[in-house]
Amino acid sequence: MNNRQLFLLGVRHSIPICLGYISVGCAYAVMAKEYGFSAFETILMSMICYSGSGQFLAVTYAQQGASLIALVVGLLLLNFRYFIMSAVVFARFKVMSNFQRAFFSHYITDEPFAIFATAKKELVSPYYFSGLVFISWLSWISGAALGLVAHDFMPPALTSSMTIALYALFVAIIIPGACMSRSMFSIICSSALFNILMTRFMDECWAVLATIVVCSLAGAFFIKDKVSDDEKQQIESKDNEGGKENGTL
Amino acid sequence: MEHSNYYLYIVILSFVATYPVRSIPALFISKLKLSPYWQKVWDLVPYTALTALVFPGIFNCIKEKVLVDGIETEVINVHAAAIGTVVAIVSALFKLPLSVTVLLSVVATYISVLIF
Repeated sequence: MNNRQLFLLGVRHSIPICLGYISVGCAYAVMAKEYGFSAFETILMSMICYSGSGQFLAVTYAQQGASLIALVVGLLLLNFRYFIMSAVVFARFKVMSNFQRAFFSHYITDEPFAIFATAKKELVSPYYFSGLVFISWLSWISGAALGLVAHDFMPPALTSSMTIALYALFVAIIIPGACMSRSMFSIICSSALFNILMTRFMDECWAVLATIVVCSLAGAFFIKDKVSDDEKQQIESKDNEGGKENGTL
Repeated sequence: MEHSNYYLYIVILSFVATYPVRSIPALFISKLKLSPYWQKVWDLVPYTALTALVFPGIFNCIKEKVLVDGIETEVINVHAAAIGTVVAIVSALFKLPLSVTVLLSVVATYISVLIF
């Protein structure tokens, strides 16, 4: 595939993200407007913060007149999953300049991560990635703009139903993973149960982090077959090196 | 004036508290060499992370505003969300394209919201 085709494929894969982003971005803008943000500030936050949960938190804090320090602490905690996601995404890019890494990392959110981290190895290219993330980013901003101007014309039953779009997207990515092998199926089921259990004891963002850490660390002991194309290659190259790290297995 | 500055600070800080979290790992991950065990952990993260983001969140995502004793209250429509979830799972099992799965799930949820 040439670079142009890769870019266009990325654009095509961003369509399901756009469906969800336009509706959630719209809901965010309505809330921001209601809580006293100007149109400029609402759109600017969508452009530079670009984090669904983060923006809802920021807007809610603003309405409560919370201290700016509380806001930063809350956001850092909420965003910590991006730290892991960004590490996973950029570990797939073997060769990339620091400038490109710094530039592209702004576009890491749950949904492009979901698609890119599970994409086939031949799609790991800056062109595919930019097609995927730029269109998603634009749809997030368009959603906010739409929320500012057109929310009154949208039926509430439809806007609330559209919030399931992003979850459905995740389900569509998890299910093929669960079908890969018996161990993957068990790991995914236990992650779901573990997270449901954890949300009873702690805040949702803590529960998600706990599930990622505990279930990935534990699950890796039970995986014998390869998870992705990358892994096999990685293991082969490690075998050739005969490095010390092999001792950990 | 003071009032509007507060909102602008919120917007700027939302960037300050988000961007470094994304860019720091992006810059440093290439310098790390992952052992086979850690590579497996890394490959599992997308699946465990997405599963954690979906369950139990998906069941509580359909919120409707209803009047209870004249006060506007937000209620969660678990039934509609459950139907949307089942449709998404079935559609994914049939290996339908992502956008089709998303659309089917939204349509099923929308119909359920209108019924329940």
